[in-house]
Amino acid sequence: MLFNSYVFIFAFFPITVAGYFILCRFRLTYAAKVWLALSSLVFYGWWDVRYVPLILASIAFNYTVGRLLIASSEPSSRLHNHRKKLLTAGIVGDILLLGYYKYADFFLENLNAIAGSSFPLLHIVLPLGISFFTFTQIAFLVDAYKQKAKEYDIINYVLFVTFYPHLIAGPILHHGEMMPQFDRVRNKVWNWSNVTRGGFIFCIGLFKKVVIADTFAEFANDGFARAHMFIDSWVAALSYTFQLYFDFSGYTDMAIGIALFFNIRLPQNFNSPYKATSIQDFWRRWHMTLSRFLRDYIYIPLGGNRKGKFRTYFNNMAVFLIGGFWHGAGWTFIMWGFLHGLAQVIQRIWGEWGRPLPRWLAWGITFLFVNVTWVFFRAESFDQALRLLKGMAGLNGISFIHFEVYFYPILLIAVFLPIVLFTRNSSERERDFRPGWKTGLAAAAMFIVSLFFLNRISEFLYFNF
Amino acid sequence: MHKRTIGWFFLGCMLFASMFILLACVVDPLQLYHKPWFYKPVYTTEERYQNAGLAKNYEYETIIIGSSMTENFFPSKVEEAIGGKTMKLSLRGSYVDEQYMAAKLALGTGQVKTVLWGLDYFALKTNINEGQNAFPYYLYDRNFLNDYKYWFNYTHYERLIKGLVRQYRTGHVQGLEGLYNWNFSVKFGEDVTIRHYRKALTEEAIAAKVNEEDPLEVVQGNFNKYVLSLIEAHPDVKFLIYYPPYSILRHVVWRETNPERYEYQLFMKEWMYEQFSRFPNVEVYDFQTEADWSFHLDYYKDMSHHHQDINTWIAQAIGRRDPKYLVTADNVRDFVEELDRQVDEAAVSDDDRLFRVRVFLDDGGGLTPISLGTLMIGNGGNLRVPAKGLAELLGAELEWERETKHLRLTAGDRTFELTVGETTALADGETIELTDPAQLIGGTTFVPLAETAAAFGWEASRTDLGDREFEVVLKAPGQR
Repeated sequence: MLFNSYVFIFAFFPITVAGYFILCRFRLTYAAKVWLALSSLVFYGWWDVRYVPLILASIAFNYTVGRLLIASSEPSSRLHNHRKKLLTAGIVGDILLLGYYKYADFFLENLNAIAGSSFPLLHIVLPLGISFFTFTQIAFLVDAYKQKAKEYDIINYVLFVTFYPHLIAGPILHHGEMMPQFDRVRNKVWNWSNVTRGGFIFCIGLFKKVVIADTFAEFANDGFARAHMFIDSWVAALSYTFQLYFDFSGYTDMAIGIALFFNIRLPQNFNSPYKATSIQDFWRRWHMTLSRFLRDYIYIPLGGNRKGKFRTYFNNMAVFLIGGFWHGAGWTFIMWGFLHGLAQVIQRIWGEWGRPLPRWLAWGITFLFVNVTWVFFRAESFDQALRLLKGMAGLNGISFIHFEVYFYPILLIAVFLPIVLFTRNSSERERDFRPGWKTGLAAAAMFIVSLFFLNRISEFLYFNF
Repeated sequence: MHKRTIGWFFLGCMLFASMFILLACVVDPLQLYHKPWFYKPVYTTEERYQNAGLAKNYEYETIIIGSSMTENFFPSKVEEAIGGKTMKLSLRGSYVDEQYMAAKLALGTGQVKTVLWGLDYFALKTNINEGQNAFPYYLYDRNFLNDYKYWFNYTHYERLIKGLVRQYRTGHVQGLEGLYNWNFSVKFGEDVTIRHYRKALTEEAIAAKVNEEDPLEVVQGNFNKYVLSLIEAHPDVKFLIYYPPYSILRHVVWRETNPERYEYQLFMKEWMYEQFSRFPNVEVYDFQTEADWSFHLDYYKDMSHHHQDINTWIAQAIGRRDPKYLVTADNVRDFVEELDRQVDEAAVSDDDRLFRVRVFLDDGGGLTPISLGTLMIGNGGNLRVPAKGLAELLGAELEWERETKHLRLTAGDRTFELTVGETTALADGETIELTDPAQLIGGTTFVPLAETAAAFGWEASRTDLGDREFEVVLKAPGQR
């Protein structure tokens, strides 16, 4: 189920909220948590019920391994000397599951290409959110091993993994910040302040997703399919840059807003990333919970920046290669990760040189770089990416024919560039939230306009006869 | 304060929502509630959306129902030939349940006297249009409240604005006469049609293996539910049903790649006629055997879609109740047999031309037409036929080596061996040169007829009957 759908907004969401607080009202707090966990599984299985057993199996596996890790921290435990093996087994199990569902075809394809073999591809349908729930649970295992994770109740654990606001597209949660919230008594009562805030940020997110991002998506899709000259390539790349930001951050806003109805605060995931003046800065602002995960569970365990210069460079590169590959099973994603890793290294070397760039130039380079790398991120193949980049570099010439076709997207880009650069983002707006008639009406306007954009009709695809 | 904010939110929602509903009622881009009030009409070519408005708010006596085969009708020509102000309610890529919705809505207005319905066999199958191709049922009823999907839909306004801009720029106002017509935006021709044909021979062979053909009961059920029920419910309305003339190659591909479906289609012609004949308000016309059209590929843009002239000729033929096409109890079988025969006769040459070829067997007593399967013509002008069909006729045993694409025919003490793509063959161990090599297309191997027959002592003689027509007579060894 998607947040931006009638069935979610008008049925699923009101019903789950009402059910939760009615149960809490009668002090059936355990039942309320079960209700929420079951709702989340319904949410997950809405399109494809086949993967509900998969996520349940993954939860059962990780919870068991986690419990064993916690229990064996006592020196008297029989498993005490095998904790490392246990952790390794847990992580390998998670990675194998992710590997099978997300990467099997990628490896088979490459194996076939290199070895000339012809293993048939598996054509596995990617289970929704598998990348997210795998990562959150690996974090849990690692912390259980380091004795940072407490002994959690099973229902809290299930809820932490499946809690439907974050299930499909994050933010990537940390058990330490989530599970205590499920048990806090004052979170069990209806909170008008959180409801207005949540509703407000949900409306912002919905608007960002269905009005702004989906409009840019049309130009981006069109451009990535066809563009090869200067103007159309830039329009395509910039459209995608905006599409991705408004789509992803809008979706996160909706998640944060929905969670607030349940008095649960999800971590901030975006902080005006296109305002960044360096690539490090960008990663502190873009998909912040992923950066946090990669830092805490890959970069620092690899030694971070404490093992010398070159090791630091290497660690940076490793983190971004893994990050790239995590985003998608394809060479274009690896390339995207590689470029970001490389940029991090270059920035470090430049920093050691000690010649800071003027702010505007630093921003320009960063924004340009992010744009160029998004091309790899979005492209279906290297050929497509290179075609676009060539166009953007002006190698295919600059043509003003059909300029009027690009007038509308260029206008949109001209409107939204200052908005992402100079205005407050949704988290800031939520922080400074002031109730009142203006806020109520603004939210209503965003909501109704979003409904107006929710149903787009695409052209009838005509291939049968 | 927070509660009051929420109050303002709901108040605002009602206010803004009412504004959008009012906007939809006044501007009404699809003309669902009324013809445009203050602008010249802009029609969308998304027929599933547009036809609801056309059916509800326009005046007409004759409606055109059907798939893309009917999109090129000119309403004025239909009016001239058949009579009654005509409204075209075609739905491209449609199934009969969707056509039923459009027809029912129009019939419900009580103004329809005649329905011209182009009925395709594939439309009788189970509807698989979903997602973005799904049918907007909410536009086709009289329930106002479920129109919310129409009120809250940005696309309709986007299209309206684009249409108005186009109108303003070009000064051209789209009328109903040319609406949905694609004649001017496509390329017709023998070459393009044959290109589609070659592609389909391979692709549809694969598709037919994967997809299960709808059983006859399903097809018949859809026919009863969506076609016959309307005829029965409207005894005062005349239903002119016709079977659209695809190019002959369309049928050839169906027979070659999906024989089950091909047979169903032929079977259904007779079966449907039986049902139709119970109602006096139906006439059925079959144009699929009109070889002047179906063998003339310059009329087609692909294997099935024909030129608008053919639409006009269809209207005229129906208007004059042309006995050549009018199906009766006496001739319904003839239409089936004739189509089957024509499919036997179609032969595409390597240089992309369609021929009409008759193959006969001379058994001493006279000539019997025979079917060897799909025919092909090589560059040398020789007929190629499926190895399987020919081997049967020659009484030869067929061996096929998949890896090497090598073929061996054995009959008595004689053998003939050839390899796909190679111009040399072995006849009883002796090398001979072939004018055209064997071919492998979509799982069928085609061998040169004359040379293969000769290897077993048969004689194949050819008589040209015209530029694109010839006969081949096969004579067994020993026949005089």
